[in-house]
Amino acid sequence: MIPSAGAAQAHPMQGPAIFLGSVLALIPLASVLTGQSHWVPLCTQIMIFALAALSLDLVLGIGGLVSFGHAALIGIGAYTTGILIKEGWGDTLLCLPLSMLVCACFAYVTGLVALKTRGVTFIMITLAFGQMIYFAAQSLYRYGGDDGLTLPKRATVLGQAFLNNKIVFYYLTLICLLLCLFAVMRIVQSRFGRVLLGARDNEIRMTALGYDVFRVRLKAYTISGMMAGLSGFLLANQTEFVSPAFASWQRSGDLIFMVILGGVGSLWGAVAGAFAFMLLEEGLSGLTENWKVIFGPLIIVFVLFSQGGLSRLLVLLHKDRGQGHG
Amino acid sequence: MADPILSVRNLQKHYGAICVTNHVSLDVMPDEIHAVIGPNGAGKTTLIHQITGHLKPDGGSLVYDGQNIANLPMQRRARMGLVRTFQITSIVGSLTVLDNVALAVQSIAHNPLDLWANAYQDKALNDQALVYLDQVGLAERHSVEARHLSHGEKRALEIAMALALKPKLLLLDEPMAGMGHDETQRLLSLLQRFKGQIAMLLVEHDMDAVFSLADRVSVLVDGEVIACATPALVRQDPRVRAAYLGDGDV
Ligand SMILES: Nc1ncnc2c1ncn2[C@@H]1O[C@H](COP(=O)(O)OP(=O)(O)O)[C@@H](O)[C@H]1O
Ligand SMILES: [Mg+2]
Repeated sequence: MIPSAGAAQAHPMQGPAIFLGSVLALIPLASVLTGQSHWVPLCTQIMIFALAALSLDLVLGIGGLVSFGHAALIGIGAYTTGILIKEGWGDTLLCLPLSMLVCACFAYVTGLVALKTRGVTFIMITLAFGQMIYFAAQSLYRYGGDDGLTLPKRATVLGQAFLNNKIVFYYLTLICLLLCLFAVMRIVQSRFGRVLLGARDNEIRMTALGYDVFRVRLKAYTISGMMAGLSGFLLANQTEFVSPAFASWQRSGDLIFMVILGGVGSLWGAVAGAFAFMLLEEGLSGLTENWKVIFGPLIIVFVLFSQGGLSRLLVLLHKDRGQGHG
Repeated sequence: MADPILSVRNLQKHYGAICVTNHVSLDVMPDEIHAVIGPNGAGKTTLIHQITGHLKPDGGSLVYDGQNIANLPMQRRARMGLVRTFQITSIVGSLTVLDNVALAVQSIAHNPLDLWANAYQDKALNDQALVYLDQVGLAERHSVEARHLSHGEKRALEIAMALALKPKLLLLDEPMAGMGHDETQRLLSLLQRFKGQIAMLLVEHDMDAVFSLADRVSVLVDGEVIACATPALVRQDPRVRAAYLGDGDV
């Protein structure tokens, strides 16, 4: 019997995560050997969005909460870092924890309101909070307003400009991604994660078992926001630029697409989904100006036919092979 | 005499103009199985919903274990040992049978929301869960995804989850509905075994079950308790016969 998506989500696969990590660790070497120097910054950027998609997968995939304002958290993290750098407080030891803290606070406070609602209302409220941040960023005239803010430099580490090195920054991003992937996998399999998953399937049952579902979701939402804040910190440094567009609802939609593409709740799938999404975007936008016309339907067709994204496809292939042997 | 574990006084609930709970008062003693019978739509499920906190009453009082619980949320009442099963089975379909019961064991364990250690491989939780599964005859089915269980098995799973919460008062909403004969017999003897240890409020249509288990029976018709007595007396009450049992039926 093929396990249902829910059962599979209770036990995230480690194999693909390790494989992904290994391949990513070798990218800089491959780029040197093949002379494809643009691979490193491209993959860095994709990993940053993969981290955000992963954090979204915790609430969307495991918690069943379709948050449509997740990009706002990237935006808040990026602006926190950007403003600190601009104001001369740009050390990683300050920027990184503060970006995560501000995002955690934002997620907590908005979660207090949003998590009281369900279904479409929840989607609309998270979207509204996201737009609030988008417009707030536009009104930061001191920090570029509409046009965004170009940063004078990247964050330092204890005063040293380590992060200017592309390879160092690449590996910092990779380590952040893998640590978060590991942490989320642990959380999903923990008691807390089991309650979060149970509440996605049957909220009343979990409440009748004595669990405070609201508190559990709020905690997951806050942890997720904190991780998105980390991706914001990385993005601001990578692009050396912050802009309201980071927080736009289109970006939130992209993140949801990445998660769906990879297979909702599969965790490593969110990383794979981010790569598939952004590489496809990169490839198609090179082909034609109207790439979105091809891109949209392509994704919808894929999701319809794979019934659960890349990860599900892999599970099914794996099962087929298993049955062939037995 | 001991104090009742649950004391419902003058409970009222309206849906628009319809009075679904009409000044209901009843007690459940700590060692008692108190059955509630009545025709469909009498307000039995609505009464349980109000006792567990699923629904807010319009008026009246609820005292459980010496404490006013009217304003406590559902999960708090569950933690106090006020545990229910649902008329429409309520399980986590995508998790295994064992995981469902382990979730209940976990709820009253130390550190129920631990963020780090693997819950699915927690031997202490799983071993305890298996004991409860064994009691309801589902031990062999422990690794099946709960949604694949038969209807009767799902009902049994719910009982196991309820027992795993170590209830002081168990509210059972038609637990035998849709069960086969063997399953009904097994559940009957299980409930019999816990009689005296766990107080129960049993809503049930199976009259054999009610009359063999219950110490007292309350009869609910149109939201109102029209009789409350021992099974033998209730059987003879002319009003009850007219309203519910139907003459010659018993
Ligand atoms: N949410 C609701 N809105 C309006 N009427 C309801 C609602 N829930 C239940 N009722 C009505 O309340 C009455 C009692 O329902 P219920 O408690 O389920 O009865 P029982 O469990 O005894 O069969 C029924 O007439 C039902 O139609
Ligand atoms: Mg009912």
